[in-house]
Amino acid sequence: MEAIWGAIGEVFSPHMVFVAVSAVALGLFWGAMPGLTTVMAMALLISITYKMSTNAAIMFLIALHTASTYGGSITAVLINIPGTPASIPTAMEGYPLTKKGEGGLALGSAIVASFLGNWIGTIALIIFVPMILAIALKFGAWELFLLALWGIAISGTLTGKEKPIKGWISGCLGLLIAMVGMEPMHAFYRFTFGSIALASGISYLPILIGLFGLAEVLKALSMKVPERIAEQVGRIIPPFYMIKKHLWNTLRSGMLGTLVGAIPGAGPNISSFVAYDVAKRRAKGEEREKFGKGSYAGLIASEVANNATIGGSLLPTMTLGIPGSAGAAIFLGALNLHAVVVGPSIQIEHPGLMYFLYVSLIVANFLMYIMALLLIKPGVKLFTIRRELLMPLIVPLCAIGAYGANQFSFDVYVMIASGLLGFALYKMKFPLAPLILGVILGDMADENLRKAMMIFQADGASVIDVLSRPVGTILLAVVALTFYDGIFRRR
Amino acid sequence: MQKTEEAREKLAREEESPGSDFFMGIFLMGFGAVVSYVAWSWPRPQGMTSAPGLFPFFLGVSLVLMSFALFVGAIRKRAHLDLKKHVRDSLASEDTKPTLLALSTILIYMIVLLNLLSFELSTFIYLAGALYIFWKQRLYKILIVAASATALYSFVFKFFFKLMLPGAGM
Repeated sequence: MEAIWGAIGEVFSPHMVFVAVSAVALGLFWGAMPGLTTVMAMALLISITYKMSTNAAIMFLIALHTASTYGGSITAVLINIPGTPASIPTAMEGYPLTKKGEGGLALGSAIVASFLGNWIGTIALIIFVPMILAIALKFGAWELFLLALWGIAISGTLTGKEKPIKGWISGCLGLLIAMVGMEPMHAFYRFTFGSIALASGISYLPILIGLFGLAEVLKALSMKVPERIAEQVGRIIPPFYMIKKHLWNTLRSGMLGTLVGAIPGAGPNISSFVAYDVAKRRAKGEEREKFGKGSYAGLIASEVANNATIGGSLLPTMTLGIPGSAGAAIFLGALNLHAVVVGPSIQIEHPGLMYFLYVSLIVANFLMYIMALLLIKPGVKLFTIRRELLMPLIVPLCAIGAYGANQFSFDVYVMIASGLLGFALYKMKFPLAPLILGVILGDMADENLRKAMMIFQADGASVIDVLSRPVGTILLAVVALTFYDGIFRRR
Repeated sequence: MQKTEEAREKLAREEESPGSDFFMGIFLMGFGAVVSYVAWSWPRPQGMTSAPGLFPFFLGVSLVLMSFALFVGAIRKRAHLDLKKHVRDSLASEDTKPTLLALSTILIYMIVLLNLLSFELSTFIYLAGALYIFWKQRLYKILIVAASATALYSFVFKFFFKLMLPGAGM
């Protein structure tokens, strides 16, 4: 109880409130800008947290994540350009509503839906963290290896869409990047080619910035997007009967969002589509007819799920060290920079940190709700800035972000190479999320596989002994099922 | 239900890229084979179970198998019959020119300018050049935006957050 009050006291200190308000304002603006994704915001603005305290960095990134996730819906509803890919279903339903003169109400519904979605995700996080931690503490090296392998396999299956094999190849490339540098067991240099810069391995922060910053800039500058004019906003706050009418849809979408968020690498881009699809299938009669022509049910489902993913994605991130989404991967990177190693022993090694995280999520959610309502009307014109102006302005931020963590010029070159790799993979329709997951989980998979092999060898364990470990066998079956599903079911 | 099926088919068509799958399949098979060979040739001080090359070898072999499947998939879609067209289409696509322009400005900024000049000067030159190419507005507007953005970055990161910025001598 003392830890909870300590966390509340710290979150409401003037410094922390200033950090949260700035991050929410920045996140709303960033998310609303077409082409500037939530992940990009977190990857580039992580440089701002280098000199912050650990708690201030957590507050900043959580508030930024929360606000930019909602921000994506502003331009989606008003000008039919989704600020983030997760807001595509929001645009499909929100823009027709704007054309009918209900843009303000659509935006207001999106704000309330995001607010409720965040609550569902946060409550799920608070409830399930102790349960997962209790199970995770029983994991041995073999189970941890299988968990890392499953994370990459499921991420590849989900993000590879019709060709999961491309997702798995992407994950495999990420794992190989993680193998570069000196390995800890025998101090052997792998894939360093005699380079001192490569000896300590490749930090994943410049890779993240390259993949989700520079590659996005290249993508955006190579596309032609017609200029559109912002519409009038009108009434914003939705009436209470509307919230009541969509209560079940909200709860269902929130649970779906949390669940998809908890799956490694899946993230909001998948959850918003899944929830939208389910809402469409479940809609009846007149409501079903409205889908594609301006349906509040579709818009609410997408926004609730999108935001519930934040809490869901933090579940495996904080308890197992396996990021639930690309945004959570960046959050993990920021925590590592502050010497916070997440995983099963987080409550023991960093007492009070989880409570601070919970309170930060709640405060960021309230701030997002209030500031979104206040800033929408005056900010509408600002959200129509052209991407030809925005994208070149992002490039120096990529350089600052990559260089800032270690003041190492090599990291800038790693970021450039990652940006080019990311752009090439995007052009060849390979997903990027499994790649970054591979880079993050590479060391965990490698070390635990070898540890497990050594333990099995020392114990003289047979295949039967290995299969008699219940958690390991369940995980092995899940990994096999994931590959089976990707290979056979999608044909 | 029919619409969902149509959407699924559309997605499948968009996901099809047999030409690039053909080339990537060949490249990755070769890459995976080299990785496996190199990893296999590394020392094994206490046997294969703890060898530094165990996991990279496993990854190399997996990469060979998966890229072979990708390659076979491309062949089944007859990618090998129209390779010249695929290369021609890729090079002549309308986004090639803006991509190359964006790439060149970024490379000049990060590899040349930041190594020769201070962060402020190189960022101002890059932004002025890139905005001139992409934004296509009057010169005075471009110069004002480039100078303001450079000043803002420098102030926020260098003076406010006390971060070392990339630039000459980085």
